Amino acid sequence: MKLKRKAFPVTTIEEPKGFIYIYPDLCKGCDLCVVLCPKDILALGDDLKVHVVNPTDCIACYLCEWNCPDFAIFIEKKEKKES
Amino acid sequence: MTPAKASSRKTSFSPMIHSYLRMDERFPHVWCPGCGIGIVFGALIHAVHELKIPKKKLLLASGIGCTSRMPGYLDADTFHVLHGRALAAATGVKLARPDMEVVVVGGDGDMLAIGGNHFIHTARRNIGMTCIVLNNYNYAMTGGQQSPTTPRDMFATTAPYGAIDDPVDACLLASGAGAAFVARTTTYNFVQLKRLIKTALSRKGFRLLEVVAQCPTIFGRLNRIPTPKDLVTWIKAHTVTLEAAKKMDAKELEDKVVTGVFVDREVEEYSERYARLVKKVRNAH
Repeated sequence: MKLKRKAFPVTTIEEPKGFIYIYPDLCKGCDLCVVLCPKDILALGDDLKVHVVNPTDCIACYLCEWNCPDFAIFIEKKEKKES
Repeated sequence: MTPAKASSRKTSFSPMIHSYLRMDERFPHVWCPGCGIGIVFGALIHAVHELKIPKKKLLLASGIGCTSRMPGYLDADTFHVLHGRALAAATGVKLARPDMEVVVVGGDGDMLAIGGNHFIHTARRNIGMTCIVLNNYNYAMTGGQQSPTTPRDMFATTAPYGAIDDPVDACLLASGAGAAFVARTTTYNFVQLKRLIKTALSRKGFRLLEVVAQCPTIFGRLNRIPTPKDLVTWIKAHTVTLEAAKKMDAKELEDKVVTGVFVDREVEEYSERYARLVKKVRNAH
């Protein structure tokens, strides 16, 4: 049986080192990414979903992506400009 | 603080993990918020992706339990069998198709309680498969009963005054039975978790990886550590590495979880011996 993939809505936030992608429909608001983020750029909103509050400080360390049990947050690093 | 606005710049990004998942009506998955199973699942997908194991060569088998829901979400060959019998079913797959990369996942109840006998004998015969045991210290799916791994004086719904049994050590059990690779880690340390899964997948024989995972909804709630963040911090505080554990005495190690690689040795896989026997018997007639 072929898999019918469902498209989940994604919120894209640009920050200096790359992009943060959040899938609000997958997020369950467990707070793990907020706690583990070393730069405190994430926070839970009133809707119990994760939001980016301070995107300029992101260092793209991937800790939120790795420790998300719901596969709801992803980091994509920007490629370095060749100088 | 106000949430940052979504970027108007569109990028074509699809997460690597999502390409390994059955992303349809099944999602969001059934696990509770903050459950450690998702982290282990993510680490397994990362390891499979980095080792470039094709989806057609991967088989994920499981029994019954919270952890055993995992194969339902993986877009590869999966196998969901009777309670505790995942290792027995996976043995059949490995002997029929030795080219498959067989991974068995299960919780502590599935693997060590009802499937305990299969666990010992699969380790003894060294059948080539990776067994990931998620230890969340209770039977989470059925409501938090005491499991063989519940530590002493911790609470469960069937141990309302604290457990009085001594817990079983899955790593000691497997190394005693003769497994080729035995290691333990926690969900707190994702890098070690991913590295150990990768190491386990590249070894021969029976590979056991025990992962101590958090269960905030039941184990955490009953033991007054109800939030995922407190529970991962609790796990981290009770973790010592193998090197540090050698310098500590038995009293200090009483309530500690020792992480690291316990056994790593070369063995001959059972499926190779089995294929040789089949060849020998066929030639004799």
